[in-house]
This record gives sequence, C-alpha cells and structure tokens, in this order.
Amino acid sequence: MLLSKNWSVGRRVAVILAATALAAAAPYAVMRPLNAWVEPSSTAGVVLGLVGLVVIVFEMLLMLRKRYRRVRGWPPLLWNVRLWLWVHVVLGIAVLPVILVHGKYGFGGILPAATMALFLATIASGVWGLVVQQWLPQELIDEVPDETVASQVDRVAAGYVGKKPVVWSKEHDRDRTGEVFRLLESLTLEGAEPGEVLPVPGGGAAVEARSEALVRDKPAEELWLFCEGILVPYLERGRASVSPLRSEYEARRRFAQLRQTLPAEAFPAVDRLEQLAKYRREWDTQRRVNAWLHAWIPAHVGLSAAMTGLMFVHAVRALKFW
Amino acid sequence: MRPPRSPSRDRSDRFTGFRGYVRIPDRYATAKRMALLAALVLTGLWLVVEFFHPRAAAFHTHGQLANPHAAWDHQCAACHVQHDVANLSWSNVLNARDRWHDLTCTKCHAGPAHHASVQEMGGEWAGFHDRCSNCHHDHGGRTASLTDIADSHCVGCHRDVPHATTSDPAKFGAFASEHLEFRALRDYPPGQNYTPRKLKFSHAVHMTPGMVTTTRLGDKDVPSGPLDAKRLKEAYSPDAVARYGPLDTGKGVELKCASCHQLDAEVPADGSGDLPRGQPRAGGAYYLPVSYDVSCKSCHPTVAPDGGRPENAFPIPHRLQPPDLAAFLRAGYWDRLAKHAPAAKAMGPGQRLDPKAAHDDLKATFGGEVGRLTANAQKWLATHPRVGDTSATGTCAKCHALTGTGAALTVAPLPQHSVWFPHAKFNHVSHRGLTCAECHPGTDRPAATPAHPVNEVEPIAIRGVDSCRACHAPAGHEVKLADAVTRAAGVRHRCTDCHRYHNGEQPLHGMGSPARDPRAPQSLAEFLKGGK
Repeated sequence: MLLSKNWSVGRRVAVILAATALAAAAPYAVMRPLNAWVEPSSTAGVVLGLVGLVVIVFEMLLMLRKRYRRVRGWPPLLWNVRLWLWVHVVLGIAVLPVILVHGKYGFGGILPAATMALFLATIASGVWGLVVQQWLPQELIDEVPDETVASQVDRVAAGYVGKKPVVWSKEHDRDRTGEVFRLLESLTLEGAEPGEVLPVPGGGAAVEARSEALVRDKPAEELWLFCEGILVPYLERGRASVSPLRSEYEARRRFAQLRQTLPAEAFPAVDRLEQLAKYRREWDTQRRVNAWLHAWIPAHVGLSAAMTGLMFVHAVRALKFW
Repeated sequence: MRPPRSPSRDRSDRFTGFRGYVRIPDRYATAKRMALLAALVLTGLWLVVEFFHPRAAAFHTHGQLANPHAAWDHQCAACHVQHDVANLSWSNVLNARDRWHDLTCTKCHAGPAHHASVQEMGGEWAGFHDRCSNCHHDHGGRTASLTDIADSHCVGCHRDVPHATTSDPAKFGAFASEHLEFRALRDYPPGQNYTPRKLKFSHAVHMTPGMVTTTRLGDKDVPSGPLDAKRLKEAYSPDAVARYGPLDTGKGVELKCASCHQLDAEVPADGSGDLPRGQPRAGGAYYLPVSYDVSCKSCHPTVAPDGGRPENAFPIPHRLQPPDLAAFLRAGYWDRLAKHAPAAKAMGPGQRLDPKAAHDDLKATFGGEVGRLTANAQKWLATHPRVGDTSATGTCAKCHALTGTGAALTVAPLPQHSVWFPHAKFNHVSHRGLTCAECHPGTDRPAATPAHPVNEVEPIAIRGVDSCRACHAPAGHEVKLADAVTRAAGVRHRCTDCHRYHNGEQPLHGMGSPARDPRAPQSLAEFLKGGK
C-alpha cells in the first residue's frame, strides 16, 4: 500500500486528490497573478518538456518491469516492483505540473492539444486507479467474505450444478451431479439404503434409511421446479440469468415460501441451497468490484501508450525547425 | 452446528477444470493488450498522415494564421526559417523560441527603417525592434489583427525611455492614466506659447453671424454692419456672392467650419463639383490646408492701393515676398499709369516726344509717380492694422507676421499644420459624429458678438488628451475634463490605435510608402509557396 494503512480510506483518497490538485494548480496560482508564464518554446519551456518526456518514458517502463517481473539485478532495491510502482505514482503526479507549465496551461495546435488531452486523461485514469485501489480492496473483504478467483466464478458456481461435458450441446448439458441435485435427490428420492452417505450441510454424512421420500407429491414437484427454473440458472449464469435470486430480499422471500411447503426435516437442505444462492450473489458483487478495480488499467495503459507516441511525434515536429 | 466452510474448501470433488487457468489472460489483460494495440495503430496512422498528408502541418500550428497569411497555413517553411539536422545542437534545441521566431517576413515586407532614436540606442533595444515577431503575433486566428499590438510591447520600454535616452524625458504607460499631454500642447500651451502659430486669424469673428465686430468709439461699442447678401453684392466679388450669399440666414452670412475646412476626401471647395467618376478619393483622415485662393481671396483680395485714383488699383498675387512684390508693383503701376496718362494717350502711332528734353521730363515725372505709388504700396502693405482701422484690411500684416524693414521686409512663411501630431494617426472621418468644436475649442460660433476684432494668433485649438480619454479609456475610468468629471466610454485605447511604428521618422506613411516595398516582386506560383 502506497499510503499508510492506518489511515482511513477517506483520508487516503483525500490526500491523493489534494496532492493531484495541488500539483496542477500551484504553478498556475503563482504564474497567473504575476502574468509570468513559461513560454513552451523558451529554454525553460523546452527543458520542462524534456524533463516531462524523460519522466513519462520512465513511467512507461513500469509496464515492461511488470511484464518481466522476475528479472532481478543489483542493487535489489532498484528492481523491486513495489518500489517501481511507488515511484511511478509519485512521478506521475509530479510530472503533471511539469507538463502543464510546459504547455502554458493551454492546448496549442491539434497535435499538442491531442497529446495534452491524452496526458490529462492518462493522469486522470491513474489517479482514479489509485483511488479505487485504496478503497475497493477493503470493500471487497467486507462485502465478499467468501471470495474466490474472479475469473473462475462461473466455473465454481456451476460446479454446484454439475460437471460440464467436454463437448457441450443442448442435449448434453452439465451432468447434474452437483451438490444441488444431490440435495434434491436426498429430499425427494425414495428407497435410500440405510447407511448411504448423502450430502448434508456441513459435509457428507450417513442418513438413516427411509422407505419413502422426505418430500413428495406437489411440494417435491415445486422444489424441483424452483431449483431447475430459478436456482440452477442463477448459479450457472449469475446476474445474466435475470433470476429473482439476484436480489437478497427476493431470495429470502422465495426460500421462505419454499420452506412453508416443506417439512422441517428438509430445512437444512433448503438452507444450504439458499446459501449457494448467496455465494453466487457475493461472487457477482466480487466481479463487479473486480471490474472497477481493474478496468481502469487497460484505459490507463492505452491512453498512456497513445500519449507517449504522440509525445514523441510532437517533440520531433516541434524541434523540426532546428 | 458448525459454520459452513469456505466454498473454496467445500467442493465435493477435485477441481477437474483447466488448472492452468491463471495463465490464460482474463478479460482485463486482453483489454490491456487491445488498448496497447489500438494506441500503436493510432500512433502509426498519425505518423502515416504526418508524412503523406499535404496539409499535415495544420496539426502542429499554434493556431490559424491571420487572413493576410492564410495561403501559408500549411506551409511552415513559408515564414519560418527551416533548419536541418546539421544544425542540431543542444543550444539550438533549447532555444526553440528563437528558431521559431527566425522568420522571413522581409521576403514580402520591406521592414521600413526604425526611428532614428532606436537605432542610436543599439544593443538590446534595437535588437528587440529587429525581430518582427516580438510585436506582430500571428497564429491568432483568421480575423486576428497583426497590428493590434498589446500595450505591453510598447510600454515595456517606453515606460523607461528616460533611462535609455536623454533626448526624450517623457515616460509613457497606459493611455488611460499614464499618457502625457500631447507634445504640441505641452510645448505650446494655450495662453503661454503661440510660437507655432503664424497666421493671425479669428475663428470668433468669422463664426459670428454677419461677422459683426464692434469698435470702441469713446465709451461706446459701435458694431460694424453685418455682412449679408446685400452687402456682399455691393462690396464683394461675384465669387464671394456666389459662395457666401446662400449662407445669409437673415442675421447675416453664417459661415460653417466646412466653408473653409475641406477633408481630403471631400469635393473641391472651389465649387468645381464632385470628383469625376474613376478618380480616386482619399480616405478623409485629415483636412486639407486652408488655401488663401480658395477660402480667403473672395472676401480679402490683395489689391495694390490706388493712390487716390481707382484706375491705378490692380490685384496682387498672393505668396510674393516684399522684394519680389516691389518689382511687381512697379510694373503694375507703370502699366496703369501708362494706360491712363494724358500724354501717353495723346501720342498716336508714329508720333514721338519731341523735343528730347520734354521726353526726359515726362519720363522723370512718370517714373517718379511710379516710384511714389510703389513706395506707398509697400509701406501700406506692411501696415499693421489697428483696431477699427478698416483701411488696412488688405495688407499683408493683417494676417501675416512681418519681419525686417525696408528692403529686408519678409513675410514669415506659414508652417504646415494639416497634422499637428506627426507621430500619431487620427481619422477625422471616424469622428465626424461630433461637432468640430468638441475637440477644437474656440472655433465654434461665439455665444455673444465679440467685443473687438481679433488681430492676434490663436492658441492651438485642440483639446488635451483628457478629451480623448472621455471615449478612449477603459469603460468606467474616471476622466477629468476641463469643466466636468465623466466616465470613459471604453472605446479602444491601445498604443497602436494611434501610433504607428514603422517607416522611421515618417510614421504616417501608409502601406503604399515605397519604404514598404518587398525586396522583389514574385510570381503567383512562388508567392503561394511562400516566396523566395
């Protein structure tokens, strides 16, 4: 963490925003009253431009450093990726006034304006990323205690339904051997052998043999309909399924309705089904938070790469009349 | 009951999927690659356009060129000196501004001479003036003016002129508050110094209806009769009747400013009609010099005194100095006397004066009479008219200052005052919404008949700089006029709104001045490419 973890999120975000605003506005506040602007083409302006160029090139090197993070050298401290990231952030904010002063707080022609716009967008996306990095990880811990690997959410949730065939078709969907169906079968199938291990909440356990199903007739039918029509699609596709279980309130209401038709002995199994739906809701939340947490990076990288390219074009063309 | 285990540990069987999923780029990694690729493609496209698009220079310009330079919006090298890689050095790179301002304006603009004072100063001061772009800034858009220059360019130095030169101790700053009184009024303040005025003329008399003046006789002011159409016919030339008769309003002839003062854009005051079609007409910035022959002669003809015999009178041409006038008078009187002498009339063709002695006597008498009339005329012309002395209204000294006596008598030449402020431009036409007297005090119709004729020169009839500020100062700026305090109207008030810099000591010369000619005219093709 670049800022003290002992600080509150609000304080950290305020410090980042204040530092950025100060870096951008301080030179303006000094130069404006004095009307003492640095001309971009003056010696000072060119030097600032060159300094900015060097800093931006270093900033771009972070991408390579992370790509080849295993590369090490001496002294080890200089090859520390976290240190690089820290310097990246600090220099990223520090280069803001350098470039703004170099540009005389203006945009100039089409190419300088495009470069400056990309630069400002890059800084904005970086600051945004820094802010969300302060804020969302803790949010994730608080809101998603059962976090899993974000890219594997669909796979993990669908695992409760069954295995996916190697070659999928409409007729050959998941094999329906997952926990959901085993729980359903434990409630609705007749003729379980004594000592047969059936899934129960908290792990598999031997259940007493019984000659008839715990849930029969219409309640059993409704239970199957609920699971196949609402729960399973939700586990498989999450929010995209447009299932009522997306809403915690609606999920609670639906499972409460379900319990009213079932005997009390079936409640632990229903509780487990409700918990699986809750997992899926958490993971959907995790994916959303994850998107906010990481989606800025492609934007930041794309903007900064385009800005760097145009910056070199600008530098060469600006100095063409040497 | 135990709490449920974490789902990651709660699987009923082993993970059977692809365990190397961590090596498969997730959608963010894919998006990052796509963004990088897009950036590279965009930069590459930009470079392609840079190299191959004929108008690619527009990407780098600081802004559109002004209309006069619009042809070179995409040709940097038309104006900027283009250096090559051989000139690449740190000093060159760091002095980008100098390189950008290394322009070739003189290909088309001659760059007339600077003020002599600037050239004398040399060094930094002259160097500043040597670079066109220090004052003229382009790339400000099509409609931007290249001559609308911020005051800071001027007052940066002129605020401290006394420090750099001893020839001009004046300091100048913003027009609204730091501009000194106009030099002509500083040097010749009204009531103190009339040196530049040489002509004795009274606007008050001429603007009074009927040009009535009063003469003090004893303890009474006796007014002269008004000049009206009737009196014009009785005592003045047909030309005067034609020009001023229509101006008789019943109270006498009422002259207007335009009766004598003609803008350079106006029709000739001699009544010759409008300018012929196809003949150029000036812009009307300045007034033409008042001409005696056009404006004064019809009422104030210069006539040789008749010496008591009207047939001896004859017109005298204007602008003759006394030595030349003596010969002219002698010839004139000789001619008149010869025509009207009885002896001359008695002699017919082939006759002769005989005997010779009688011829000599007559010749001596005739010559003596010519000499007497000439001497009297010279003396009379040099007479300074006194108050009430109407007999001397045709003398030179009525209007002109005379110096010397006798043969050395000289009429002081009149200075040319069409332009009182030779280092500032002024456009009378732009200000024609105002009465003349608003800016030229003492030249309007007097409220009462003047007490006496005025036979003295007038002060410079121009109000001071404050009268300009009433309009030309930041809006709301407090302006103290002679008789009131007002708020400025906010009309433009930059240095360059009045002052022109170029053309050395002749700043009023316009674009047509030969000093502004380009080095060499060019063909259209060369011109559109930025010239040679």
